[in-house]
Amino acid sequence: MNLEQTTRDGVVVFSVKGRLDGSTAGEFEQSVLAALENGTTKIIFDCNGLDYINSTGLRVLVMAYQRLHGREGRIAVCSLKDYIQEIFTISGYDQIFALHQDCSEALRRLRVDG
Amino acid sequence: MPENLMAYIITAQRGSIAGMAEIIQKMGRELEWSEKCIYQLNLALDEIVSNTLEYGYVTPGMHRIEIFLELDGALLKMKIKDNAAPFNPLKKAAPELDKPPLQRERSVGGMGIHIMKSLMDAVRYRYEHGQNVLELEKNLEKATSCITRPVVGFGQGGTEQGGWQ
Repeated sequence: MNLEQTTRDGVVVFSVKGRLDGSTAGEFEQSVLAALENGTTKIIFDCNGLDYINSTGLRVLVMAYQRLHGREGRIAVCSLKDYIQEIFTISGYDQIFALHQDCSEALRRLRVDG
Repeated sequence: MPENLMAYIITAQRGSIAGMAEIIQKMGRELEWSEKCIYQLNLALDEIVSNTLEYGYVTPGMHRIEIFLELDGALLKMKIKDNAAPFNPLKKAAPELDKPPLQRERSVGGMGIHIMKSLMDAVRYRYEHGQNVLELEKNLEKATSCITRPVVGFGQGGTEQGGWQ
């Protein structure tokens, strides 16, 4: 897994590349937790380079959702491969995350919607 | 005549799953399976093996998980045998998908098993000779588009059917 973190207009964007599974989810979780502890309330997961995710990886996204839900935060997931998006549907997580094909659109929505 | 595609044994920890995934990816590309199918097969195996490594063994280093892949026409059969504590994934409670995550009383722990079952056309479990034996089947002819749906008989418990002996 390769993880890049950038902040754009108050929105923290995590760009995740490669495999997000049991051997990499811990590192990913630490980075997300650190951002949340710094007071971040808007997060985008840019999955353009994400080739693989399992339930352990999904759990980190759900953890971020749960933490942000309590402080009226916002979260979006963008640029998922179609076969990974299906796993969001199977798991029901398409109902809790705003899924966008276009990451620019996701960023615009999070900025505009406050 | 069924064709044996792979026999893989995991005796180490998590890193071995990535090794297995690489082999399946290489094999799948040679057999011209779609990237989506390769992902789904790897994910199903990953979910069951990860679950076994996470919860199935009390003592580290004493485990052995065997994975066999066999192609019978368009039917891909996968068998996972392990010497972990008895665990029938078909009896694992399904996640409460109808409720928002914050209102779910059960943990998200069952999600991996739910995903595995949803990606397969058939799942059978038995415990024999001190081993969990899980058999998964996926019809690749139908899966060229990899349409996913929950397994029929979901959560009804395993069967004792053979066919792999």
